[in-house]
Amino acid sequence: MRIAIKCFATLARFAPPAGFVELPEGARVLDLLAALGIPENEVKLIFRNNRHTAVETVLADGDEVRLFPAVGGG
Amino acid sequence: MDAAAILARARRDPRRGISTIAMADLADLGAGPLDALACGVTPAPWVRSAHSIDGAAQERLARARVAVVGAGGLGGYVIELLARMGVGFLRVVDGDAFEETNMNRQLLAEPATLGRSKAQVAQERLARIAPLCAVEAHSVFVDQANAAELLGGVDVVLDCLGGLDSRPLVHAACAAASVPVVAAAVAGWTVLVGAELPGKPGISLVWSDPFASDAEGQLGSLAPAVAMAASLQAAEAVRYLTTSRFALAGKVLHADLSACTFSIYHMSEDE
Repeated sequence: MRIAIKCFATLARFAPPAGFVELPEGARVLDLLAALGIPENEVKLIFRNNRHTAVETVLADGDEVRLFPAVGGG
Repeated sequence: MDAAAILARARRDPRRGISTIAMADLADLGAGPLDALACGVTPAPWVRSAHSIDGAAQERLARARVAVVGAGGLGGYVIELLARMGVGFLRVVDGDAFEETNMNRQLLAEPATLGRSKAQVAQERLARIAPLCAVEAHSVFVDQANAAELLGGVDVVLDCLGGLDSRPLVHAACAAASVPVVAAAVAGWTVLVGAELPGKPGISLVWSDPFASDAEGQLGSLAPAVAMAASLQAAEAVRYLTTSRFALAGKVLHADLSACTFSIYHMSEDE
């Protein structure tokens, strides 16, 4: 299945150039992070189809995932 | 207050179709902005707001009490914007002093203010730009002991802090005092802004782990991102103060100014 992915701020360096990743059916957000080589402890916010979610969430074909680190500057 | 005296000093602005009164005339009569608004007269500083903020809304702003925590990057602009919108009371809380590294983005950081209390400098700025706004300056950091006092007794709190450390404390204290919060954070060109109602999940999830690595440490904090975040915070606070509604309750607006893209995310996991 194809997952669209965007990575922001310090995670931008992990974003795949094509903007998507192919994963096997049943893959979770954790598997997506592993496929992109993103350390889990660098990810603070995960959004799946514009809604906050957890690393254990099982993804579905066509999902859009966005990842953020902790952002605190002011 | 004698309405007839206010109406006698008021002038009709025929182009804008509203009655206005100069600050000097109000002072001369010993009257305040609320006295003028009660007569359907707009104090002159707010004339250019009046077609978008009607008399009833302007009166709500004039009666509003707002606490701004942090008077640095976000707070400097938020204070400026809320005062110019006509918020009647601002409590400014910041235990920090200006330093040179603030000068890339903080409105109130300038050579003359280096080393001075941010809260105090903000109060002086407000006295110059918004004499109709009452200001309380607290040159302290929010902690467990003072949080209830500093964050209570207001209609809304603006979290304009920098860093992750003290944000959870501020949001917990606001929830305990049943005060809604409008918060923002920046890293490089990344802007996050959201509002939070007491007891409901929202933007504070971003700061739930005070030991996480703050992206700001690697990307810094850029003036256009900070000013934009502050502007969105001020607009959201004014929306709440005038309509009792947030646009971003339980949501986070993300602006990526490196690509000029904008998204809104829901912070609850439920559909």
